[in-house]
Parts: sequence; C-alpha cells; structure tokens
Amino acid sequence: MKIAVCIAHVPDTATRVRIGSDGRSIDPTGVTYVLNPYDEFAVEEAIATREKWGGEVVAFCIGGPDTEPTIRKVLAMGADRAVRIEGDTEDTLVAARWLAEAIREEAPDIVFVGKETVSFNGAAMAAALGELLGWPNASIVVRLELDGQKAIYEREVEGGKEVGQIMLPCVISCQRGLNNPRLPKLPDIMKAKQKPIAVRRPAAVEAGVETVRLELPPPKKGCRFVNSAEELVRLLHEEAGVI
Amino acid sequence: MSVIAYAEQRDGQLRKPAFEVVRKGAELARELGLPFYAVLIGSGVKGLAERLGAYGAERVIVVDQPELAAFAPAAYGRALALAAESRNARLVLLPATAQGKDLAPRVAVRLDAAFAPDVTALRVEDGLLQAVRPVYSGKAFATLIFRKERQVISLRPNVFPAGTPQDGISPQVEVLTVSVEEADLRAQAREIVASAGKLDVAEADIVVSGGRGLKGPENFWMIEELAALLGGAVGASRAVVDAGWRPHAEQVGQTGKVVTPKLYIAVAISGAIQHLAGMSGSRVIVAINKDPEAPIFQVADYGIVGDAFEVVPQLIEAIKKFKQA
Ligand SMILES: Cc1cc2nc3c(=O)[nH]c(=O)nc-3n(C[C@H](O)[C@H](O)[C@H](O)COP(=O)(O)OP(=O)(O)OC[C@H]3O[C@@H](n4cnc5c(N)ncnc54)[C@H](O)[C@@H]3O)c2cc1C
Ligand SMILES: Nc1ncnc2c1ncn2[C@@H]1O[C@H](COP(=O)(O)O)[C@@H](O)[C@H]1O
Repeated sequence: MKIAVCIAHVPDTATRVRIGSDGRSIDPTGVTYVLNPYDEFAVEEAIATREKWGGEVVAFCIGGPDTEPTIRKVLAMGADRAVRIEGDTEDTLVAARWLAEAIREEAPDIVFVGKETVSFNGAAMAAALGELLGWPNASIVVRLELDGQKAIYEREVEGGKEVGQIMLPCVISCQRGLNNPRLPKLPDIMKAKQKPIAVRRPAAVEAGVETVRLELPPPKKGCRFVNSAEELVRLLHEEAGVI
Repeated sequence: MSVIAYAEQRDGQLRKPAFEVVRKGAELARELGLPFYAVLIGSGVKGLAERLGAYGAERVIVVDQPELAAFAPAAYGRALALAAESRNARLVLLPATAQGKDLAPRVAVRLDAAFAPDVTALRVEDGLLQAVRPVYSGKAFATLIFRKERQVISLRPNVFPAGTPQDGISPQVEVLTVSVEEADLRAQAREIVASAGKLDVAEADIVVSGGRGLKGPENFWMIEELAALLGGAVGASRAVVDAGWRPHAEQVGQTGKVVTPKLYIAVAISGAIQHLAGMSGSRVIVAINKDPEAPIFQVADYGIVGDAFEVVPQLIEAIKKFKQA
C-alpha cells in the first residue's frame, strides 16, 4: 500500500505571537517551529498502516529549506521519503492544489492529514484534497479500521460521534485520540539523515485571498476580583447580563 | 448574482448554526442588494423550510432526495455547488461545523471561488467583503480580502447572532434535483452515536470547565451540577483529559475544542497558553483558582481567589437562590 502524509511546519504552541513590521504577518524572531501537533497523529497512522499492510510512506511538506528539521523528524518517526514543495502561500486552496498535484503523481492509496494546523486553523485540507483528487474524505477521525479497499471510521461531530464507511483511495484528517504518536529513537534519527527529500517547484496558482492586516486580540480590561459567590452571581446578572 | 447560505440539518433537525448563517446571509444580501436563498439538503427535509423563514429566508432551495439521507461530503458538496451555480451565487455561507468544514472547501473548489474558513466577523466595505478570522489558535486575528468574484466562507458557530425568530414569514420553496453519482457516496455516514443527550462544549452558551486542581474525577460532580444549573456544558483542561478523568470530547484548547460561549467559568485551571487558545474568545470569563498569580486571571473578567472545594458549592447555592428570587 502506498501511503501519503501531509505535514506542516508551524510555530510551537507555546509561542507568544508578535506582529511583524509589515503588519500582516508574525514576527518570526525567537519563534521555535515544530511539526504541527495534529500531524503527529497523521504520521503515526501512516506508519502504523504501512507496518500492518506493507508498502511505503511518503511525506509532503510545503515550505522553504527551513522546514528540514520537521521533515527529518517525520522521517525519523518512520516515513520512507519526503517531497518538499518549494512554496509559500496564505491561501489554503493554493496549498491544496500544490499538494494535490504532488500527491497525484505518487498515486497513493490513502492520504493522511492533520485535523488542522495550529497556525492557520483551517481544518480544510482533507476536504479540499478530496475534491481536487476526486476522492472521498473523512475529517476529525478518532478511529479507523482499514480493511483492504475500504475502512470504517469514527469521527467527532457536535454532540457525539459519527460512524461511517469510506472507500479507498481516500483522504483522512486525524484527530487526537486516533493513536499515540511514537517518539523517534536515536538510531532512527541517525537513519533519517540518509533518507531522501525531493524538492519540487509547484505550478503557479492564483491566490483567492489576501491578508491585509494581522492584529493581536483587543486587550482585556482586567480582572475584577470578588470576594463572595453571591457578589459574583449579582455581577454576572446585573453587570455582565450573562445569567 | 445572489447570496446563499447552507442551512445544515442532521437527522432531520436544524441546528443553531443553521439559523446563524441564514440570519447573516440575509443581512449581507440586503447590504449588497442581492437576492438571498437558504439551501436545505437531505431526504425528507422540505418541511424544515418553514422555520428558516423566521430567520430571514424569503426563498429556500430544497434538494430533497433519498440518496442524500445520510451525510456524504462529496454528494452534499455537489448539491450545494449546483444550488450556488443555478442562482449565480457570489457568496456562499456555511457554518464551520463538522459538516460545514467538509463541505465548504469542496464547494469552493467546484466554484473556483476564494475561500475563507472559520470566520468571526464579516462586513461589506465599498461593496467588497472583508472577513476576519482567528489564526495562531486565537492568538491573532487576520483581516482578509478576496481576489475572486465568488467567495465561499464558513462562519464560526456561536459568534454571529441568530436573533429571535419572527412569525409570519413563509418562505417560497424552490426544489432542485441533483444527479448524485456513485462516486459521490464513497464516504458516507452510517449513524451518529450521541454522547448521551449531553450538550456539546462547542455549541453551548455557557461552559463550566474543570482542571487538575479538582484532584480527581470524583470531584467533577460540582462542575456538572454548576453546568446543569446554568443550562451549560461541561468542559475540561487537557491535564484532566490526559489523566482519563474526562472524555476528550470535553477538552477545551488548542488540541481540543475552540469555544465561544457568552459565559465561560474556569475552575481550578491554571490558564496555560494552549488552554487560552480554546476559550479566550468567550464573551465573559470567570476564573476560580486558589493561586492569585494563575495566568487564567489575565484573561478573566471576574475572578475569585479561593479553594474550589469551598467556592463552587457556594456558587451553586448562590445560583439556586438567584433562580428562586
Ligand atoms: C502541544 C500542546 C497542546 C496542548 N493543548 C491543550 C489543550 O487543548 N487544552 C488544554 O487545556 N491544555 C493543553 N495543553 C496543556 C497545557 O499546556 C497545560 O498543561 C494544561 O492546560 C494544564 O491543565 P490544568 O490547568 O488543569 O492543570 P494545572 O496547570 O496543573 O493547573 C491546576 C490549577 O488548579 C489550581 N488549583 C489547585 N488546587 C485548587 C483548589 N483546591 N482550588 C482552586 N484552584 C486550585 C492551581 O492553582 C492551578 O492553577 C497542551 C500542551 C501542549 C504542549
Ligand atoms: N504547508 C503545508 N505542508 C504540508 N501539509 C500541510 C501544510 N499546511 C497544512 N497542511 C496539512 O493540512 C492539514 C490541515 O491544515 P489546515 O487546513 O491548514 O488547518 C495539516 O494538519 C497538514 O496535514
């Protein structure tokens, strides 16, 4: 089975965001970049699938040469090789077209992506790739039972879980709970250094959206400390009007 | 041209996010001087059109076919894109729910539209749309403009007011038929296992969350009772979910759910940056923590410094008294 996994290189979740001098992007000074936390579930599922069914895991990452540590981490977790797509876009559909184009060439049986990135928070990639590739998708998946040409999935929906069936080839977006991502061991890290990373230049695609401003959330006016539960209830009713 | 909104239904029930997108769609259509259509997709769903009238839909397009009984992203995407094309939609609004997140990108690809997911503010300036969406898990807000004639936008639930339903508007129903192909049904829902009638944190108006300071799962009765009294949902920090005290579905934060209730009460939660990412957009935040230096107080509107085991029972009593008065 040929397995694809899409991985994003994102600011660590503990990053304090500062706005850059252009007013429309973050200031990257001092920011540590890591593998997107949800993509750890996608990588783990890809490797576990190969371990069970045989085949190959190919990782795809859009980004510059600075993404290499993240790609190497995924290779150390067990991916066989990687494709880095040399590009940068803030339009999630442009990213989807670039990924779809690269994935189509490899013709995998299944593609794993993370539920969302902790930077863009689009949660859109699985459906976008599905539409572009002409494949079905299941998003926010917390359980997957693969059985040859089909799978039973369980995914989180409002107020419960949806159970359904999906035919391969397909795209699956992975949510926490699906598995426990492995930590690469030292020999794996050494081996990953030899694994190939191909670089490809994506086709020019016109962007549909443009960020004109990036701002920090408006500051809170400060916490009002109260001494009793009665006083709190009164304020929530009279001042805040929420109960 | 027109504006259309996807009125999500599940198991034949309209949910609150459907009313929110219909209300916002109708309002934007008026501002843009365009006709507005709400779209219903499913099987046996025609009867739901009437209720959409009460939220401002004068026209409802209904795609009502047996093959669409269960949610299938590709089939529903085809139906919604067809509805958009048939009315030459300039703007398609969806809720950023589990369904909407699967449909919006598919519809945007089909329409070759510009696409923005999970938007929290949307306005028209000089006839052009501007959207605001949280990025970096709520740590910043991006303002976007669109470079294509058509736009597909999903709206974060619980942010845009649905308003009160008005009586007496009976919408005009227009039926549309879509030829669903076998390939469109290669992923399909079979059943939805509801979490025992519980309100979902992401949909609730009031959320009461508990953290590691509660010391054990046996103490969550306080949180449950407080939430029940307020008609709210129970949430949890990741520390509590990782410890197996509460299910992951209740986790609020960067790797849990993002919530925007009108009232969020954080009990014995320190307020780590990843937790704040999930709840800092709440309208009013209350923190109860024994440590006056806990970072949660930096985002809270109201705070009580004290032992949760004393304060929460007092709060339960105070609310009971308030409700009786
Ligand atoms: C990649 C990543 C993703 C993450 N995602 C999330 C996420 O989605 N959601 C999330 O919540 N966290 C997330 N975290 C974890 C986060 O960093 C914190 O570890 C977590 O939120 C802490 O949970 P807590 O506040 O319950 O526990 P603690 O930090 O241990 O805080 C307990 C609090 O309870 C108070 N307390 C103790 N006893 C009492 C008492 N008797 N009465 C009143 N107060 C008391 C203490 O003063 C303290 O402030 C993530 C971390 C990482 C690295
Ligand atoms: N730059 C990127 N390179 C590779 N994969 C990506 C990239 N951005 C997003 N993805 C994938 O798409 C998923 C969802 O991201 P998003 O829709 O942007 O929130 C991520 O978890 C990744 O699997």
